[in-house]
Amino acid sequence: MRILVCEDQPDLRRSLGRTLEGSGFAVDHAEDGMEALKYGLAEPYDAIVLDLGLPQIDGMSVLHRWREEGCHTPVLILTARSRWSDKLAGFNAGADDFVTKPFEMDEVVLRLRALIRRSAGQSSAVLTCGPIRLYTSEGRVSDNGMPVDLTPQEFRIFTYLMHHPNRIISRQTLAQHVYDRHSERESNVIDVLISRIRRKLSVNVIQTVRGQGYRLTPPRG
Amino acid sequence: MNAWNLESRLVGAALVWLVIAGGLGGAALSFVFREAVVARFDTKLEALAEGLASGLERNADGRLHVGRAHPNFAESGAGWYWLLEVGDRRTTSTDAAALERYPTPLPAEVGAVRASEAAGPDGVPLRAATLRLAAHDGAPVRLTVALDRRDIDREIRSFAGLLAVAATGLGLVLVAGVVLQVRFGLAPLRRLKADLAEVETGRLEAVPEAYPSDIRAVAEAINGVLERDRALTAWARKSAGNLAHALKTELARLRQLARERGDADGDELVAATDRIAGIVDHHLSRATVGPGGHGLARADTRAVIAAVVDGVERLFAERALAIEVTDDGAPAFRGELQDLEEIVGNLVENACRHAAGRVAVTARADGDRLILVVEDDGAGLDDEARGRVTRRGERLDEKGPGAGLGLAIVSDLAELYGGGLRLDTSSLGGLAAVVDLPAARQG
Repeated sequence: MRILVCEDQPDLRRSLGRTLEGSGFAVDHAEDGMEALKYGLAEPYDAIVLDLGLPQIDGMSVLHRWREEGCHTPVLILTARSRWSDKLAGFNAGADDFVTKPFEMDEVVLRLRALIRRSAGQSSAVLTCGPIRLYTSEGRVSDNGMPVDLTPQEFRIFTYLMHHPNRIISRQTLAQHVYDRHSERESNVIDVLISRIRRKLSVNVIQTVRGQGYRLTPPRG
Repeated sequence: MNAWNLESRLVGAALVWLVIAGGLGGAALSFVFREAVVARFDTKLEALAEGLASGLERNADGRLHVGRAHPNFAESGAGWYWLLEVGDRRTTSTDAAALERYPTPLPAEVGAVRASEAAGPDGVPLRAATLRLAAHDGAPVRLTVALDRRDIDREIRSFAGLLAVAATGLGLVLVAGVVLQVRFGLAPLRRLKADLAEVETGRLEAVPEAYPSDIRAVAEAINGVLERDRALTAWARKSAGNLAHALKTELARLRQLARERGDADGDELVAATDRIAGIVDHHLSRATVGPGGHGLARADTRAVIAAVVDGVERLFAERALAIEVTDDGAPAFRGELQDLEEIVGNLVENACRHAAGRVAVTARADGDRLILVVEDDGAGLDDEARGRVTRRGERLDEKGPGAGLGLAIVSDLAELYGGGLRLDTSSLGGLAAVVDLPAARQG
């Protein structure tokens, strides 16, 4: 899962980035409204953290432009303005959730996970595929009740597949949701990562669809 | 302060000049009429005197006496008298003995006439004309004719009465005209007053400028002031918001640094940054809310409730809360839209935060007040906690930064609008927050 963090305050941006990466997300950073607008339209993020007080173009205008341009990525607004009129203006502009500064990093992570899950059409906080369970709030995977130890990249791929079960996901799409802007994206690496995930699970829930990509399906029986 | 309004002043001033002008005009007319009547009477006296003079004859002893005369002179009680003076000798007509003592004036030359006032029998007022004739045997000759002047006085009184009736009628017509003129002239001002009342109640954003040119200038000036006032308020609120953003962004950074220390000092620092954020929230919320002083605004209660419920459903999407809204016939709020959003938003957010599964929002009218009731099925609050929660800067929960200040903000805001916040036990089992606010007039 890949997140765009739009925050102009460098320390806060770095802290958010570290926390989100530590929670299993691939993270891109935008330092101002221009960058935020450009990245948000160009990359298929799973969620965006948007500070309203961005330089060059303010966050609310950026959000308006994203929605006008057809970008429907869930947006978590990060704001110092705790007034309800600001929140309602944000919701009206297309925001999906709010966190008011100063905030607990864990709260941002929790809300982002919930936003991503709901935007994928999943209402339950625990996603199940056979004996395998993804606890979205906690960011952990279990297989027959036992924890599964996944690397961050494996976790991102598996999380994305769990959010979109029974759908064919191309390698390119997986790569887009696993790597940040600065990473090399080689499609065979995705194949390697999928193989590793399969080896760590008791049942094969990830099917290869020749020439198209992968599909997560529950085991039969 | 002068209690007289503009209309009273204009009508009053017009009445003053009407009374003065009417009085002077009436006096002048009355004077001219009196002079004309007296002049006509004098002319009649002069003609009678000349007629008598032409009939003067000498009797056997050579003395002058009145030969031919109008029969009225001979009629007793007719009020017609003559007096012939030749030197010191006086001759009078019938009943004219009283005139014998009358000191007649002496006209300056022969043929001239002088008018005078005299008293006849029984003190009857007379008007007299004395004609000087050529001397007879060296003695000056004066022929005086006097008539009862009460006829003139009656004629003058009759005219004065007629004049008073006419003047009163004319005065009433003029007063009615003045009142109509003043009302017509001031009609645009009355419309301006009504339009300003509409602006005050929030039904109009600005005074319409379809007025006569002079009042239009006033309307434009008022609109200019309103616009500047709105711009200043918006600028002040934006500045306060920017200040909050700058402060709280730094607080967020400081908080994260403190959190990363992971020791007791770090926890203390986190608590301190939360307290500072609470103070910033509290004071900035007071700086950026409240009526602007002109009481112009009006906010659609039902639209605000709908928007807030939509917002909290997103914020608490994970909780699957049932939020029931009963707001049929709820009146509009007489105040700033963002203040109603703040009140409803904080109440509903607070209820959702503490609810087990149900939240009920009710809005209704109570006279000229808007009553908002937000209830939840949570644990509720005891009396002591209810008192504390609405006090400035107090918060009961520590669920995270930014939480728990809502009821104090609502209480402050409701008080700013002359209302209040009351906390009670809900029939749902949790807290019932009841807010009393001014309602906008219907229409």
